[in-house]
Amino acid sequence: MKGFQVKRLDKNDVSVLYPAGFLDAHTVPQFESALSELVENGRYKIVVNFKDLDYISSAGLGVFMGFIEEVRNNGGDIKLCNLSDRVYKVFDLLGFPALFEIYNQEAEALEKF
Amino acid sequence: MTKKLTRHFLLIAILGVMSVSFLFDWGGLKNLGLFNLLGYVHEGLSVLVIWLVYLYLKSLHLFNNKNVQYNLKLIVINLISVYVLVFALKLIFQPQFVTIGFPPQTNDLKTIIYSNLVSLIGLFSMVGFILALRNLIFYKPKKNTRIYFYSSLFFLILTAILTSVLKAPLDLSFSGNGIYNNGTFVLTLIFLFLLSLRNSWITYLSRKEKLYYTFIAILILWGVSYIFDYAYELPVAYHSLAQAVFINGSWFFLFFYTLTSLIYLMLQLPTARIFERKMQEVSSLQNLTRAISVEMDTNKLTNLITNMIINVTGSHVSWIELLNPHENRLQVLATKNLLLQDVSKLKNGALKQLSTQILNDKKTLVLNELTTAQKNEYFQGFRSKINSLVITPIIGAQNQFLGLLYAGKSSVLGFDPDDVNLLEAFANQVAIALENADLLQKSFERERLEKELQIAREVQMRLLPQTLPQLKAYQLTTETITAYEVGGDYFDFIPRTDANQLGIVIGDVSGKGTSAAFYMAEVKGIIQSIARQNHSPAEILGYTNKVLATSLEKKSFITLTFAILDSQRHQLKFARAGHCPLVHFKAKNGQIIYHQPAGIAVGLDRGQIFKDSLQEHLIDIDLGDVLVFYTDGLSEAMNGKLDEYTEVRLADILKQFADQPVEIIKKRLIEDVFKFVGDHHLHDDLTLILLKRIE
Repeated sequence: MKGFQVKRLDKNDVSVLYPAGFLDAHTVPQFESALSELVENGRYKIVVNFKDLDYISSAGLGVFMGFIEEVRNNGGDIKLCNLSDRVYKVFDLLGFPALFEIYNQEAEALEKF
Repeated sequence: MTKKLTRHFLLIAILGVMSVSFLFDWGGLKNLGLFNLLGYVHEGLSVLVIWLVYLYLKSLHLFNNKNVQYNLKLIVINLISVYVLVFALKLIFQPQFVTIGFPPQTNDLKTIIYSNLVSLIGLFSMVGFILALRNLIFYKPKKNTRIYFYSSLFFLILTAILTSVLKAPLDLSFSGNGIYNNGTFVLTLIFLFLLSLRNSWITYLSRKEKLYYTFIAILILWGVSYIFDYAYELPVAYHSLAQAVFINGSWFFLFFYTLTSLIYLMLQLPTARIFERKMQEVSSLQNLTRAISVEMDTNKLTNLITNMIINVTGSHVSWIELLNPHENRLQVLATKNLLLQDVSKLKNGALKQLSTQILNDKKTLVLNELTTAQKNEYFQGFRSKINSLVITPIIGAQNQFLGLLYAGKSSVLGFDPDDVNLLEAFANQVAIALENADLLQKSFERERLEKELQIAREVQMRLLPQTLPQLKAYQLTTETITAYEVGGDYFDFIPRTDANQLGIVIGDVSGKGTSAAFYMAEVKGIIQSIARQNHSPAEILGYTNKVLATSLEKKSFITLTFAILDSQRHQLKFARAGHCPLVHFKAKNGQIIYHQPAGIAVGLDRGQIFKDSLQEHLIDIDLGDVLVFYTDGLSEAMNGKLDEYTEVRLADILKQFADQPVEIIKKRLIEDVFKFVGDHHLHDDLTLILLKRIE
């Protein structure tokens, strides 16, 4: 079974999500609920740290699109960091670098808020 | 037909024998000598008449109805008719008997006629009583009922014969000859008494009927106790001792039975209400179980249940609140006798505190004496008067909380433990019903989804081109392999206004199922409508994005590659909206080039970013070059170790077989993909377009 977990750490007014394992069509609802929890609590400054993510399918990317508009309208953003080559390739293929800020290190992402 | 004939014959026989018997009386023959032989003949005829009357009445439909009320009515009519008839006969014939010895005597013709008529009436009436009582006794027959019934009839007839032979009165004296006929008479009475205890029909009467029948039974008992003295004693005894005994015996039977019935009725009066309640409970639970097995509509079921609660427990108001699992909120349903204002108060959570308490305890709450404070707290401003309230939780098979069942009465102390038990039983039934309905709903849902997927799959298949365009100097082949779930792969070929050009499009709609198939149809429509004109790939993709971005769901996107092949200039101009790279095998040096111009997927941005990011590439195609368009079903095909197939493996196959015709390359490539995934089935659709320049 391809496992997936997502942890959350709040660093001041920025929340960092740590998805781990496989993010595909089957596990994406878990990640989606983690994001929607943040949005519901009005925490619009979000960093997603992919250091523990082994795999993301193209279906897993849609979830970001579901929230980005609302987040940005509320003065926040979703910034991505620590993408492995394999994960970055999927983002890159779909053109996400044109839509999202992507950083190598979490600290850089945090700084940009 | 024969039955009818038999009946007519019986009636004629009765009248015939009675006439002969009358002649005996009239001529005084029965008291003449010859050892009183003619008297015996006369009594024999009398017994025969009893038997014939019994057979005749038994053959009538009148006495073949087991219905209790019907038979009780027969008895009453029978009794009243006898009084009326005998009264009339007494007026007409003015009978006079000499009552010094036994049996009574007379020489008066009018009295003789009167006696004969009264005897006949008596026989019909008494046999009628016996048959009606028989129907009541056999309402719930037990093992010995039939034996008792026929034994008592047998001994009664035997007593009648013995009495007429011995001419000893039935005074229960047991002296002299009287020992025989009195002995059999006692046996008759014992059996009749045993039969009189068979009044089980009374148990199942409703409370009202029991009360009503008690008064009727008193009147009948009074009527019965006088009828023998009033109508039969003298005339029948004069006419025939045998018939007198029979009438006397059956009168005892009628009297006993009326008496025991009255006693039974009176004994059951105090428990009638409880018994009726229990009967109602049993039948309502039965009805409910039956209803649950056929009725799957939750609204109808809950309505049925609140109706039953009102009827069976005598509650004034009742309603059900069901937990809505999606909103985690109680929903008010099936309110009975509650005014709309009160219902809206309930919907606003008037009883929230109580329901939370029960939700935690999972136990029934009985509030039999609501204090003023409680009423003010829970029922502030309620129009319905509620002074006692029972709330029962509805608990499912997995001990999960499904809802609450409420019953309220306007009186204080309205609910006894029986009511509470019953309400809990109802709550259990509701739980079963809800779970049944839920299971059914789920299986419907699954079936519907499967059907939907099948339709989506069919739609998707019909959207793909069914024939390949013929190209000069190029070989073209395609492949679509569908996974178990419906994917959103799409490809198409669009002829251009310039006959040397061919539009090639490949794409993948994110998400699966029906929505993917619909988006695909939309993409096809948009592209078909503009791709024929002289637009560039970037313009076509930009327009597609503009149209689709507004209608696509936020989470959905579509990757697309649009290419225009110019088969005269041997060039391919293409743009890529987030789709997999174009894999290019160069025959000249055996190298693989991955063409991945910038571009974001359709639907991710509404306008400017999409346009700005989109780049167009122009590729020269040399002789022997192979171009491969594919979807991520190929590059992301996964094996058991969760490795992906990737473009690298695709490139290896291309390098090995690029000199072969495209059909062979395709065959080898697909073989290799399936070898790679092994037992790990494809989880997404896989689409391939192979293009090779051969001239």
